[in-house]
Amino acid sequence: MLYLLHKFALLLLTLWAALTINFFLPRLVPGNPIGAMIAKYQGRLDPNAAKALMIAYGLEGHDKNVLTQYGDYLFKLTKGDLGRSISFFPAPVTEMIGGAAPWTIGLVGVSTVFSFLLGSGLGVYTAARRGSRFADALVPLALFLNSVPYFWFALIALYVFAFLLGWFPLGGGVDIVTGPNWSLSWILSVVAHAILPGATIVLTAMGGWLIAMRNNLVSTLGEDYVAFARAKGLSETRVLYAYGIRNAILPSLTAFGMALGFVLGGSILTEVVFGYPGLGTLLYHSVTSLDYPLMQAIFLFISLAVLVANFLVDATYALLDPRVRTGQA
Amino acid sequence: METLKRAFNDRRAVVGALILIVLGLMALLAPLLAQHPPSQLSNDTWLHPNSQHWLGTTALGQDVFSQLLYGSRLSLLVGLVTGLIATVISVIVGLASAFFGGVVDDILSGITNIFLVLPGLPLVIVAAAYLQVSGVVPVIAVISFTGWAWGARVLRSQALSLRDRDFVQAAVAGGEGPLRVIFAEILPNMVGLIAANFFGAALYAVLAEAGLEFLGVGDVSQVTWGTMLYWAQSSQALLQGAWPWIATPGLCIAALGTAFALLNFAVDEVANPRLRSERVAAESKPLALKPAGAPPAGDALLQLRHLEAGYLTEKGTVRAVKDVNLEVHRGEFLGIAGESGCGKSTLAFAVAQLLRPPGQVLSGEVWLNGQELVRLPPEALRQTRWKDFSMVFQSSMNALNPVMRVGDQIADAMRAHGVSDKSLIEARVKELFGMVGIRPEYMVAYPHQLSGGMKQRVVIAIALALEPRLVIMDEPTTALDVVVQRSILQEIDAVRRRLNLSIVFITHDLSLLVEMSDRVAIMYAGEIVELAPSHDLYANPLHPYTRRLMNAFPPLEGERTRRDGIAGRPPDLGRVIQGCPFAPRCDRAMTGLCEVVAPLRLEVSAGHVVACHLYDPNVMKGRAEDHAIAAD
Amino acid sequence: MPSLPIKPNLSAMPSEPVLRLEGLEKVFRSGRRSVKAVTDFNLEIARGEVVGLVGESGSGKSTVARLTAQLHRASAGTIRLNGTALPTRPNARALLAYRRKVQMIFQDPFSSLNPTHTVGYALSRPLEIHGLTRGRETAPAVRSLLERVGLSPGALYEQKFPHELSGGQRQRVGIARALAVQPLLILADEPTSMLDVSIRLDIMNLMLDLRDQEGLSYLFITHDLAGARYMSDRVAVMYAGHLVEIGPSAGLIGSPAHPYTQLLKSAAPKPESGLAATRVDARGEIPDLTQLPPGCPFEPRCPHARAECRAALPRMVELPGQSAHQVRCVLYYPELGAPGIAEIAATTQRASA
Ligand SMILES: Nc1ncnc2c1ncn2[C@@H]1O[C@H](COP(=O)(O)OP(=O)(O)O)[C@@H](O)[C@H]1O
Ligand SMILES: Nc1ncnc2c1ncn2[C@@H]1O[C@H](COP(=O)(O)OP(=O)(O)O)[C@@H](O)[C@H]1O
Ligand SMILES: [Mg+2]
Ligand SMILES: [Mg+2]
Repeated sequence: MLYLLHKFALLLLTLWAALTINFFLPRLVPGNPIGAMIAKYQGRLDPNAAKALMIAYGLEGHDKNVLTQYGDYLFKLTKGDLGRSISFFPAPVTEMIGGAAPWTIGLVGVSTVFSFLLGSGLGVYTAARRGSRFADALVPLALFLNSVPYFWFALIALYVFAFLLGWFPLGGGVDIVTGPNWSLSWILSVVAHAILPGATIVLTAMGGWLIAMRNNLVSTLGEDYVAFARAKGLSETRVLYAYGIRNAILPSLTAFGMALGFVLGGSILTEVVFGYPGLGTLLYHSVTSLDYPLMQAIFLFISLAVLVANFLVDATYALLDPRVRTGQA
Repeated sequence: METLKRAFNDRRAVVGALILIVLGLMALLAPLLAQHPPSQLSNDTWLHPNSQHWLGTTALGQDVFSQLLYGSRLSLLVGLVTGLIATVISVIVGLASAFFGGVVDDILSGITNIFLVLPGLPLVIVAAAYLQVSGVVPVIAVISFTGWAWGARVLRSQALSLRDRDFVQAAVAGGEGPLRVIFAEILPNMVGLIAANFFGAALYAVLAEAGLEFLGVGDVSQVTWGTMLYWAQSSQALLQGAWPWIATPGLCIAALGTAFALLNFAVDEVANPRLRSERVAAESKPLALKPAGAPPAGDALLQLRHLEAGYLTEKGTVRAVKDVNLEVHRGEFLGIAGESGCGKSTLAFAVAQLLRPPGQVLSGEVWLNGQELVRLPPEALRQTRWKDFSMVFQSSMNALNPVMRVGDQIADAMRAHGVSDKSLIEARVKELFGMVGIRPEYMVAYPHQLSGGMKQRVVIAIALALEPRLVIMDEPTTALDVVVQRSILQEIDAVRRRLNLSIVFITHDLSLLVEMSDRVAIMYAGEIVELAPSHDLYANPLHPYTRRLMNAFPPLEGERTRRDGIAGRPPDLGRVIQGCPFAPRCDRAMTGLCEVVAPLRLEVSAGHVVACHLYDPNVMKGRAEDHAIAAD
Repeated sequence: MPSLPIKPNLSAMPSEPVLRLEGLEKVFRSGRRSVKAVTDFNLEIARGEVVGLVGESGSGKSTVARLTAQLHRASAGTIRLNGTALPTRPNARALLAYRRKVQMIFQDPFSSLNPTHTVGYALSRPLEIHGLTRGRETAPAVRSLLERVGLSPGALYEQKFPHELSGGQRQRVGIARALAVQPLLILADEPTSMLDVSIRLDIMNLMLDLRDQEGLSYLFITHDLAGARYMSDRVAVMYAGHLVEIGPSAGLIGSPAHPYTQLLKSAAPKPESGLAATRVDARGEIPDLTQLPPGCPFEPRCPHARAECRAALPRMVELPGQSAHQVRCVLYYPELGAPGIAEIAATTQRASA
């Protein structure tokens, strides 16, 4: 329990760090990014919006020093107020994120977990069957997949399977004409749109998990307790599962938690390629239209999601490792 | 250095390095190879690959091949420089954290942990968007800023373990200052890990850069593989059928990434010896064995006939067990002693059929209770194991599964051999714990909750679980303190007497063995050179090796006199040994005989067998005659 | 085989001991846990003397050595070298001067030499750090050091990396490294326990020879009573961070006074007698150092425990008529009539019967 408390404290600390980076970033960069943005929107920007922006970024109201602004910022955050989007003024950014997040969580979240399971499974296979040609060939393949840019792989998949072969829709999250939300045809359409992007995420993310699991399991299988388990006359399956994998999964889980941020970051680029209506596409939009409030809110939201996911991974870890559970590690 | 050298013996590292060299050449020779300036516009837009434009042209009529060549420059630069910067940060943070400890460590580890879980790429994107990047420097800065944390964590834990190593302590005790301790003592031992880390960081950098530029947050006026993809995507190149424009930069990025990943993997494997030795293990092949002879006639529980075992290594066969013939009777306590490296463990593993590649039984027979074990099929062997014989390993500290309750680890062995009644198993576990002197509460404990002595007791309890006829113990108490050792030995002895077990007990501590055993076998260079009832061996050791070994233990009582060890070392078992293996170290060696002719094993008195020319009447008679002739 | 008696140590009686540890104490803290590894430790080592320090693992032997080598900072107590106290927080110069006189040999020959440096480098560093040789003088000095510890020709071994040497050879290099600065005292932390039985004696003999040649003093740590007896003039016994008994080695090991030392002795292997003949009662294990009882740390395991043992930590008392032999046990309190003495006599009689 102490372990989880510790992890929760780390979560809060990291969240605070993300919030702080988020606050200071626009204030630290040289030049005047907000000015540039306002200039870019010159004429098309609602004067209210411009004023709100100036205040939000401390360009107006010089009576307030940075610390007061920082306090205001944190206070507003506690009320869930992240400001309003510029490019879709006056939509509050929280609302926009609320619309996009379910798509991302559904696609990227599910694909990431799936790729971890699949990659780890194949990692077990390559470790247990070392020496067989197929198992050994999987390793360089995994290294290659792990090195492929997600979005590029997505582009190629889109071209081949959607454009050339026409097996999948060309983009988007769901067809507009399929009927009310959660109707059967709507769900089928959502699934049809998710398969290709999901598959590209699974394939590209899988390589890393495969290598991690393979190396962990190979090390574990060399441990004395595995040799001793064999000596006891346990079946190979029992040795592999209860002694090998059961231990090798622990460092793999740690690696999973650590890499989540990177993988999620990469996966959102996949959304851009597929025009998937999730956070990645929204982030892309906000970057191209210099919509700073939206951009920052998305960053915060992704950070929060990663942190929560990480905490869940830590909790799972604690559940699986008695050394942590009994607080003696 | 050594690690790096070894890494390059690896095929994967070579492939990785080759890819890197090819891409490097592309970057260097771009002006020579490219037929067009990379950014030159022309009216030949959307050309398909042809002899003028090998990979076609872009929407603006630029040559894709030229762009690819020139693009490699910045892409490589970003990868290498970012990898380098991130690694330098990792090394500094990791080392400072480990070396200074305390508050410095708390703060740095805290920051590292924060950066580990912050989603790097989105942060990079937001930061880059603010910076309104122009040129690659900000890109490098931003990616380095987010890419160092993983390495810092790994390097910190490595540095921490190095800091506690004795050689670092020795340097400090010798008066070495902190800088030299860090840079001359700790750092050189981290080269492998740092290199692996560099390749990992470079891979991250290449992918992050591509992602940034693809989104257009980098400086899209530069030619890199990432910006090529950006322009291709924004001009809908695929829909125009200009697939090389998209396919080739992506492939190049993937190739560069793969090169880094291969190098990282190879260096990692070298730095982690276990990954390596297992690979060698997977490569060796089984030998063909001659069919076994008839089962033994006498009352021996275990009989070894001409057992040969060893290791098939790249440099040849290490013959660690040579022509061993031995019998163990029911209820007998047989001790095996000898210096380390004499093949004691190999013998134990060979008897138990537990040698893993490259180790192997080369020939001979192991008869246990009427069954020949060497030729037993795997499933039959699995069933015999633990039921008929069990084994306690040398390193029992790690013999227990850390995530399984110790009681379950006993139950496991019982279930594997057909005992499935839960209450029966539980009662038995309780009984076993009592037998080895552990309170039953500990049945539900995990290994980390037990002291070393208790773990050893649990392992012994597991070995006794199915009341096997034979227990082989390979230095089961060497790592323990004398008091704990004594109490465990007493328990083993009591159980043996009660259940009439046979025990083969291996140790290098001859004085302990003489005290405990019925018979003692002395092993040297893979052979049993003397075998005798223990009181007989103690009172009348014959083989010069046994005598020297006996003399190597100073006594607790009596006069304090100067004693000598045994000069020299046991021979390398990978070489062919001529004559008596002990001859080079023997003070009674007879020149012209011992180093040429191997002595025979002779029974000089009841049950006392020795392999030494000094006790061979024929040899000694012959020599006496020779001397007589020479004297004439 | 000719056997020479070990030379009696004539120089071992000057006025001021080389080393004097006074009330040394070490508490390791990590988080809320604090481990009291060494408690009120007093010891003197005379010039040319070998003091053996025995005890089971975890009893604080290494910590004493590391405190003395200034690898850890003591929580309390004073270290005197030739009568001069080392400041609690010595500055770099004072520390360097101290290290010049006090050197250490480590237990694990496989981890005490840096695998990335040659033997020559390892030996040249102390010479250079302490300004004993400069430039071209170093190489010959290194070679002669190697030859003094039996690694000749020195020129050959100088170029070797640790992985090219056997365990015994590495340990010789470790000794040479300690010897390089011509120290007064060498702290040897179980220098033979990781070595093969066949070379242990060689290493011990080398250390004894060097003592005779150079007038060195040793703190020789071991968990092997027989080894301590072979090496030492005096033996000190530690239990759970406390010094429980100290005395001339023959006397102490011949007839140990403290119940713990008696237990240690009865547990040691004795080839003469069968296992069953010497059943020892070894209940319990070393106590938890995070919460030591106020009384004698051995009391929970002691067959002679009485009420006085639990009240307070027993003081060190001299055995009657043997001022050099002291023991921390109420059984030897003169005011209680020293009932332990009769006990020892009885045991000795039983053993000899
Ligand atoms: N995996 C291995 N590969 C090659 N040689 C080995 C291996 N394991 C042990 N050996 C060699 O076999 C010999 C006997 O080793 P071992 O049986 O462990 O001896 P002991 O138990 O008596 O110390 C040694 O010379 C050792 O170098
Ligand atoms: N650096 C350290 N940090 C925390 N505890 C330590 C440290 N070094 C030793 N200890 C603890 O101090 C006690 C004594 O250890 P040590 O001096 O190594 O004993 P010995 O050398 O007699 O085996 C042990 O309980 C050990 O766990
Ligand atoms: Mg062994
Ligand atoms: Mg120690």
